[in-house]
Amino acid sequence: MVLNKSLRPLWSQSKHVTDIIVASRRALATTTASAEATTEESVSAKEEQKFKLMAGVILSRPPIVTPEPTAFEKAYHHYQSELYKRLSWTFPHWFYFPKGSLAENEYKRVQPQLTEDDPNVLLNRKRDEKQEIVFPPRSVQRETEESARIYAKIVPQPRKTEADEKNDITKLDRKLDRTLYLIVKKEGEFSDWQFPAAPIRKGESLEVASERVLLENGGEDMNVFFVSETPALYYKKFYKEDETYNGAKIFYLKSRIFNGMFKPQRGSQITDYAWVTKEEIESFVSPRYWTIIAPALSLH
Amino acid sequence: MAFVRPTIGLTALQQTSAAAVRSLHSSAPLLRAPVSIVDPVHHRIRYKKTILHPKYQKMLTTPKWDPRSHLFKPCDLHPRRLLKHWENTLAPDLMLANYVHNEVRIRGRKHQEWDGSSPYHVNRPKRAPAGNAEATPDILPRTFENVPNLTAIWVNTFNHGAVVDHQERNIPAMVMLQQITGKKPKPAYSGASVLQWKLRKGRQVGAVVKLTGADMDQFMSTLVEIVLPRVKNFAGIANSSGDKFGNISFGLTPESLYLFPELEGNPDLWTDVVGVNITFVTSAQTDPEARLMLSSFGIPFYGRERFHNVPSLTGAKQTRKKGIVYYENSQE
Repeated sequence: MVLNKSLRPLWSQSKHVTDIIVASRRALATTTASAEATTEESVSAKEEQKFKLMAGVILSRPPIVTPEPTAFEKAYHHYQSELYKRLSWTFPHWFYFPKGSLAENEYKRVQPQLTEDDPNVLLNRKRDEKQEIVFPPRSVQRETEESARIYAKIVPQPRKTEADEKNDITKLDRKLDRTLYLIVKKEGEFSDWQFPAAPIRKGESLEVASERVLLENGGEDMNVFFVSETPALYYKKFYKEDETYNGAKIFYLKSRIFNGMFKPQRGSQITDYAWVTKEEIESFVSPRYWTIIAPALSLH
Repeated sequence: MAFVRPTIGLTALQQTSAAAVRSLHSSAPLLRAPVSIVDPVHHRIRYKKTILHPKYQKMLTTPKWDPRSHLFKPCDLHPRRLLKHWENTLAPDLMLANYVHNEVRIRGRKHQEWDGSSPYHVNRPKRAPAGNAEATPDILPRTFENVPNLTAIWVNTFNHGAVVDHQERNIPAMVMLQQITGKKPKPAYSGASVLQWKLRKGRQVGAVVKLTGADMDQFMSTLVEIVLPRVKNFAGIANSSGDKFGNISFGLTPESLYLFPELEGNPDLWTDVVGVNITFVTSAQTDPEARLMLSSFGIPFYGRERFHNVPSLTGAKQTRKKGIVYYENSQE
């Protein structure tokens, strides 16, 4: 796994993550969420240390293409750009093609010759319309592979990929204009869909632990970048039938994947994984988990 | 197009023919052609407010942003790709990366009040900031409201040849600026006379363009994707660049300017190219934040980085200079 640390500012690199965790725990100890009120009361009698401390990763792929504009946006931009062309200056061909040169002759030859009798025509341009410039054809005699490649018409790649058509949620090249999040499903304790997480080992910082989570679950074939050492999300989970722990506190770090693939590892107990958008996550995860993670996810 | 711009008084044919007529009376401007008949053709309407026909009086009160105004300039020609990228990807990441726990406002140097011990202190201008330095803005806690973004790009050129040789040498420099930025530059004049540089006050010494909006996006994309990757021995922008408050500058040599596609397509046309200075104006409060933002747009930086006015930095060497606390990156 390749970790890109160059973009991270110094003050986030050198921050002691343990301080954040302690501060967050103190803050959380004083506040009780209304949704958790009933469970919180039963738990409060027990000791605070009985919560398992865990590190998680919100691994996401940022949008690759711009969102498709709506019909109204398209019409608006079309109106503006047509008006802009209508009001723009006449193309200064005398600047680009020196007087008397072959290039100038060629340029003038291919332009539409407008009649001088038309009062709307001035200097070979209709005054109430945009100027249509016709480029002279290139001489094909000197055509090489290189020039053909350069002058070939640019055709954009389709917005919908093969993975979109097959609705393959394990592929990263789907929904190119949206942020995709990685959620996993495991055997045992984490049988629900959620972001990958694992307990923090003794003496391990939050960042090191979350890097280990990615490595243990997804393997080395990923190029990822941790945005910050500051947790982007905090989730408190309660265990009903567990003698040693009352629950788990999970701190999620935000990270971005640039390239590579998430490949479930053998020892990770992962049964399934998916790259999904914000709306799709709602149908996968539990309602309580959704209410907590939703504000941390991107709309686009 | 539904909207047709008003032509005043005469038909186009009459106006064109009237342009040749010499006239000395007060309605002469009306008889003049509404377009410049010398290339390039500017579709400019000339009128006198006092003798404007009543049916055109409305155009005087129509605001500039209204498409019906004759002064309206269309700007939103297409969706802004870089802005969308910033909104969807960079802004949330930058906010998290710049986040500092329990951050407080850092007060900048301000003009000082007189203590009022003398009656002459009333209405006296305030004292200079401590250290006899310039006043600086406060550094506010980082929130979702002040996530750094690119505000404007200034491209300016100082034409030494025009100073020591001919004023006319400014013309190709201005055309070159217009060519690479897509916007008409404004002339820059000397503010002082310097004998050693043969500089006289009020003479044109170069030109300047301010890019905002879509023009800025276009220039930034060209710079990052086409020009900078091909500049020879380009290590990046020096980390020492910056005005301490989020504005980063660097320069491009004439050789590098030939890498702009507009100049590269026809290099024989451009014989007297001068270098340019480029300034990124950002809404970041400090230089490190501005660098972080610019690097996320794809601009590289090199050299030792110094931090200032960063509140919670542990383990870094601190130095204090003119009231600003500097931190040195101990990791490099």
